[in-house]
Parts: sequence; C-alpha cells; structure tokens
Amino acid sequence: MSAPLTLVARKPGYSGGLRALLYVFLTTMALAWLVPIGGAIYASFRPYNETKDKGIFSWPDSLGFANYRDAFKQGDMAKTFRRSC
Amino acid sequence: VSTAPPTGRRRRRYSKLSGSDKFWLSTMVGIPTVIHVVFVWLPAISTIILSLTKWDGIKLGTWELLGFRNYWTIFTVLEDKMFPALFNNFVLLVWLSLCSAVGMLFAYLLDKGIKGTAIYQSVFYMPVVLSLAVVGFIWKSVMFSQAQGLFNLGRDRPIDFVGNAEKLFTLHIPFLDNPVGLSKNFSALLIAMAWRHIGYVMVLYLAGLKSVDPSLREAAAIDGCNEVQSFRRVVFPAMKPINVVVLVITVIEALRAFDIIVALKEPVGTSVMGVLVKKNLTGEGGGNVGVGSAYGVVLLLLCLGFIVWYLINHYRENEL
Repeated sequence: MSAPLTLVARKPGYSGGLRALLYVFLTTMALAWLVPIGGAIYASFRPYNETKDKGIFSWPDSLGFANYRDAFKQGDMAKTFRRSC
Repeated sequence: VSTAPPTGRRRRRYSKLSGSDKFWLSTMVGIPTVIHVVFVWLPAISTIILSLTKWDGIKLGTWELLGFRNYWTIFTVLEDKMFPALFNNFVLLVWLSLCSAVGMLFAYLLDKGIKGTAIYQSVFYMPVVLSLAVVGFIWKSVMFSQAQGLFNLGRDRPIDFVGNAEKLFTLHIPFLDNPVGLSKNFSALLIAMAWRHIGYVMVLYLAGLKSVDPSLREAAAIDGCNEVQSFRRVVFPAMKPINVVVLVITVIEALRAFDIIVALKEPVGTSVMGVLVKKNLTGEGGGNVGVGSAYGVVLLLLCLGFIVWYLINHYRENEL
C-alpha cells in the first residue's frame, strides 16, 4: 500500500541561514530604533552638567531621580497632569 | 378609461416616520452638521476670504480688500519663500513614500512567524506614540546635538545637523529666479521623521497582512510563484484597502508637516508650507493675515487636488 499523496504547501517562513539573517537584521534595526529614546531616558537619570561635559553616551558618575524631582516641583507637573486629564 | 396620473390635489406623502422619529433624526443629523460647518467650513471659507485682504489680525473690521495681490506676492519673487517650501513638501512626500515601503518590508518580515514578534513590533511602534514635536526634541538632543549627540560622537569638528542650511543639491526650475534645493538640515529632520513614520506604516501593514486569506498564498505557492512574485502579484493587490489608507496617510503627513520644524525653532532651509502659514499669521505687532491665508489656500488646493483625484479613482473603480 502506497502512502497517500499529500500536497504540503510550504509554511510562510524561512529556514536555516536565511532565518538567522532575518533575526540579525530585525534585532539590529530594533536596537537602532531604541537609541534615540533610550538616550533620552538615560540622560534623564543623570545630572545635566555631567551630560554636558561627557556627552550622553558615556558611563555615568551618578544616577538618580533628581531631574524628575525638579521637573515635578519646578515645572509644576502635577498641574499639567491634571490639565491633561 | 384614462391612464393619466391624477393631477388634482397633491397626495400626502406616506411616511413611516413618526413625529418624534423625525425630531430625533433631524437632531442627530443637525448637531454634527452644525459642528462640521462651524469648525470646518467656516474657518476654511473665512481663510479664503481673508486671503484676498490685508489685515494685521488684531482688530476686527480693519481689513482692506486687495484682490489677488497676496497671491501675486507669494507666487513671485517679492517673497521668494513659497517654492523652496513647496519643494521641501515634495521631498517629504517622496521620502515618506520610501519610508512607507520600508514599513511594509518590516511588516512583511515580522509576519514570518518570528519568535518574539510582539517585542519587535512594540519597539518599532514606540515612536508613533510620541508627537512629532517631541520626536524633534529627542533627535535634536540625543542624535544631532553638537556637544553630545550620537552622530557627533568622536568627531573633532562636530557637524551642526540642525543649523546647516547648505544645500545637498539644487534644481534650476526654468521660470524661477532662485534654484530650489534640499538643505542638509532638512534631510537630517527627514531621518527623524522616518523613525516615526516607518513604525506607523508597519502596524497598518501588519493588520493588512493578517487579513490576507492564507489560501491565496497557498495557491500562489502551488502555482509556482516565488516569494517576490507571490508578494507582488497576490499579497500586495489583496491588501488594497490598506494600501489606500497608507497612501492617504503618507500624503497627508507630507502636506501637513509642521510641528517638528516649529519645535526646532524653524531652522533656515527647512520651511514647509505649514510653517509659512504660521509665520505670516502670527508675529509681533500683528501678523500678515492676508499673506498667511494665501499660503493656506494654496495648501488647501493641493490637498483638494489629491482628494478629488482619489475620489474620482475610487468611484470609477467601484462602478465597474
């Protein structure tokens, strides 16, 4: 008895090397996509003088929420939040 | 026996709607109509009227009728600003179309049963939740900044990406005195805009690809289509509704570009039509409302041209 003939359509997708290449490409692009916003978030945790002297893309001497505290107090963020609501 | 229709007293028209039905119907149609007329038609028509006048925008009633002199001003060398701005809008349109293609490619690749596709999708989509003004600020300080930006990292002489109005290329258009061209800082802004636009289009196409019937792809594969053929001849045409949405979004984004440029304090060489409108409408000691409105009307006509073209195509196809 012969096995029944079946037509198997290829699943959409790649195999082997092509698939690895796809992952490399997508991961590279995703990392590149994160740089601008990641840089902004990273800089938000460092004192401005430090960013000014050493640039955004450098090891931090100090990290903290001082910028957020200032934004909340001096920038009166509670009020603007209420307005946004 | 006469077959002529009765001509005597008019017959009362038969209506299925009761009195309260009619009331609610007219209210439900009336309120949106009033809102639409007040917030869309009134400003549009008053812009057209104001474009024919000279007015500082401060005191009502101080306008004087000029006829088409404002248009004469903006279309000739008296104010040599419109054609560079229009050219920038055109460059933006070409560029955003390219970005749409890239977004489509991303969506296509992410639709291949990738592991962790949700993570990739979120990363690419993330800039879309930011307004273009915020995108401008982020790129200006993180990427383009002369002191700390990524693109200036390790350069001895940092490049002023946002300030450099040098032209990358110029075009001499026969009847214009000055050549139009793409300035370096505008192309820097284009990259920032791409960051946002690609994610936007990607999400739309992801939805579009999901809606394509898998049996179509299967049939194409069985018929011996290779991947490119299957996409070009089967999948892409099947996504027509999404293609139309993306086309409309791309054109609208290119024509209405405004916020990122104003947020970066209108660098020289990056003006687009929206910026010209704003620049003339506002200003110290009153603006130049007539000229600003004239720019606005030109922009309106461009949009209308596109919409009319789209509607004609749309209805012609649906008739067949």
